Amino acid sequence: MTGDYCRTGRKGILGKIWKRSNGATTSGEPDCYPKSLFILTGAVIGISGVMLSFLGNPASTGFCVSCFMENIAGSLGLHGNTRMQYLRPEIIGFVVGSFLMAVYKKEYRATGGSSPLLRYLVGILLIIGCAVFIGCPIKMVFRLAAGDLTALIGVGGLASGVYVGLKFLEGGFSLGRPNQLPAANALLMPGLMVLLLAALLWKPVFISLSTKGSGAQYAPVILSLVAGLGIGALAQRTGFCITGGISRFFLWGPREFTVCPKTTGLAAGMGSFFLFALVASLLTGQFSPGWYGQPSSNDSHLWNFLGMLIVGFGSVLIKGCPFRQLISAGQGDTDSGAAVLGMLTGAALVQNWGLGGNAAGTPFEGKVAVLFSLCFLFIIGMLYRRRGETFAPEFQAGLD
Amino acid sequence: MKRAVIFFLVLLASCNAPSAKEEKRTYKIGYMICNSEQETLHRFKPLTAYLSKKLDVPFEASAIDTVDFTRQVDTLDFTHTNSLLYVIMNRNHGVEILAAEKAGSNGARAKGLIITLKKSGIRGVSNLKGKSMVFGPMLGPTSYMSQLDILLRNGIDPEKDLTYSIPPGSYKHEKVIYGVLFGKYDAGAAPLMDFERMVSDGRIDRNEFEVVAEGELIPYCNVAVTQKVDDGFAKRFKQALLDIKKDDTVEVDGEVVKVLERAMVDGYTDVQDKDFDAVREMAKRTNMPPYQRF
Amino acid sequence: MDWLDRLSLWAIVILIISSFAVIVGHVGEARPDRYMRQSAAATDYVVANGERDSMLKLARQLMEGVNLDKAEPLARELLQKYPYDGQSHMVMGDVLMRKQEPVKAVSEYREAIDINPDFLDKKTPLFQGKKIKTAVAEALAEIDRKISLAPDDGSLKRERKMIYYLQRRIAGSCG
Repeated sequence: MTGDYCRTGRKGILGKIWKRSNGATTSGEPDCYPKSLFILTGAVIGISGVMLSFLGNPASTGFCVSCFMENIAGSLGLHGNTRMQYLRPEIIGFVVGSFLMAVYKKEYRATGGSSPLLRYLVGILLIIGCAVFIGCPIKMVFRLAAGDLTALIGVGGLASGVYVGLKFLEGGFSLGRPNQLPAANALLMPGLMVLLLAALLWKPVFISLSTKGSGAQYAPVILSLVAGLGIGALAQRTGFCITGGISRFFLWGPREFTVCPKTTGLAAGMGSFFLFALVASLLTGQFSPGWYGQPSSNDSHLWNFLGMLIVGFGSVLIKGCPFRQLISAGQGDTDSGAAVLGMLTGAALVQNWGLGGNAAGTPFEGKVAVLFSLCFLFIIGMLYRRRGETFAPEFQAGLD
Repeated sequence: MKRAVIFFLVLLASCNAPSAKEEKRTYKIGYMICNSEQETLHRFKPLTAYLSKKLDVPFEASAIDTVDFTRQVDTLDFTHTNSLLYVIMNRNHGVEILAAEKAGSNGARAKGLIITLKKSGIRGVSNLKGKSMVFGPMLGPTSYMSQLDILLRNGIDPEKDLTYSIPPGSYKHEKVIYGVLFGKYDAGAAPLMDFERMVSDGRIDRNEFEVVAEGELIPYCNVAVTQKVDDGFAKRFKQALLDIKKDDTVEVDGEVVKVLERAMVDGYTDVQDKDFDAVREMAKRTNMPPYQRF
Repeated sequence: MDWLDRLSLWAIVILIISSFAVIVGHVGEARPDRYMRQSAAATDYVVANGERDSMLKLARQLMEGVNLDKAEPLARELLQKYPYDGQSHMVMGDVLMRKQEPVKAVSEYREAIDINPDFLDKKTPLFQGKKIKTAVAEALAEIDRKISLAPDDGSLKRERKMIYYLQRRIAGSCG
């Protein structure tokens, strides 16, 4: 077995799936997945995140997509929490890095039209779920690597949500096939991010920047941006996605590792992410194992579980966790762009309505939001199913 | 592509990007007065000037009396005190340890002695009952607390079983030693460091004295940082202290002086907060601040 | 309608009922009016600040002079006059620490932090995080000792929960 995994023959169930889908992809995914690239991606994410926390980002945060979206929303004036206002360069870097890599590898393709409004709504729900847990799936891993045992509850919730979502996919859930769009459409998201970067650097009066609170905790801009660009590029190449990786475990299990290079790759990437983050946490003195007194945690374990359940469930339905949405938006997927804008809206709502969890626990409003969000996801799942069918073609794209 | 990247980097560099910058202001170091304000500033002004030069940030030295130190700690950025004062400030004001000072035969540690004259015939702690004993300043761990701890652990209540007084004036530790030497008191509580210094200076004869008891080794003088200083800058300050060598010099008032020699220390070493647990336990046993119960 | 549809319908029904149960349950709770009174009181402080500041200064001086007999009544007076000011609670907490009552002290620190999160924000001049962290560690050790002697005491467990909350606040969050 070589270190590279390339598509050669397709046998059995995989062959059938491939035949049915005719190899269609929503965005040009690579045919070869060097294992080392996945491990490198995980390592870069793990080490960068821990180092950014060491250099100024909030503790155990690395780069949390949901928290950082809340910061960006605050900076743009979408909410009034003066402690949560900063244009996070990491988020900008993810989108722009993905865009640059896609252009470089000639994989940049403007697609869209696959229920963008619904994806916008699910984007809102994803952020609600993340806010209740006080972190996205990426931050969940960083919290675990920092010794926060309460993050295991999030792992359970996320995996449960992914499992539920997969049942809907197996039951024929589909948001419709995306279509090719004029290339200019796909420039919107990267263009918006470049504008945000310009705003961060030149600080016009209408951009708010916190002078205290977590919005004032940030690593040097250039380091954050470079890390974001690098991670965006690598994630675009490998399709790194935590919920995607968990999905593949459920779909094919450990027996399929040898014929599912991307499963192996994503598993290796996630494992590498956690291990490198753990080592970096230990070396920088940020590792503090325990159940109590952890940063960004509380003892509302049921609601933390449900919050991540929303994230897992919703991520599967729109084919990617919040991080993956940013990467896909950068490489030309306007549907993911809609999800990203939904995430930004959700970030604003979470702050304006006080939905997010805090050290004291999950607020009443957050509990109601979690229950209603789950309700919406089940309704969406029911309404968009094509009964009698199995995996829709767009969900088979990029599978091994 | 290459040109775009270079242009982008130049653009970035030209902008006043927000980042965690160090505050450019004058930092205040409070030095606990050892013997007199003049003597303290004379010792530590070169160290202060050296740190200013090394860190490229202005520092200001301030000599503060032991009893007033906790009143003024919130106006300071860094502190230089004995270990008991550090424990008090750590508990009540969130001060954090950076480095310990090395001096004398025990390096970064010190101990308190109970001394008598050999000719007094007092050989053990139990012989001190009914005798007169002089202590040093109350907030001195090796001039009062250590010795009080020894007495209490040997069943001697200083309030009932001894006569004692705290001498006024400057050069407190030396005055205690002289008080015993000239027979004014039967026993004295003095730091080992000062005792050794007076012996090496030839001011006293070691053979005339009996060391009746020795306290446990506890951290000596130390440098700490207050809550308001940025952690990154505190780390740099600490490293600068640890890196000071014997031959490092600085110009002060037109004179080039050796920093450590003038400060009368052998250097600075890393120390952890848990190293002060012995001082904490001693303070609890002797009902001293910060664990004093009324 | 297959099993997934039935499961989804049941899930939707349960979630809707649960949502309304949570809403109804919360409606029954007495809404704390502290925050309304706090914001109302905040405007009064603009005028009264001079008096408050001098009382705070005096209380601190008395504390440092180990004159707790006078410091404590003054701190209580401050609390009575300015109950929605974080500094009043902070001073009371400091007095209680000097009286060797760390559990009560951290309870006051908690009030102070809830009123004004700046006490835990290193970017502000009010930062007291390291002092509070030391007090919390001491309080936790004391409460654990008490719980080991009286494991069924509910009030001790509630106090410990409060201390854990403070630990989380001190550790920080991105929210």
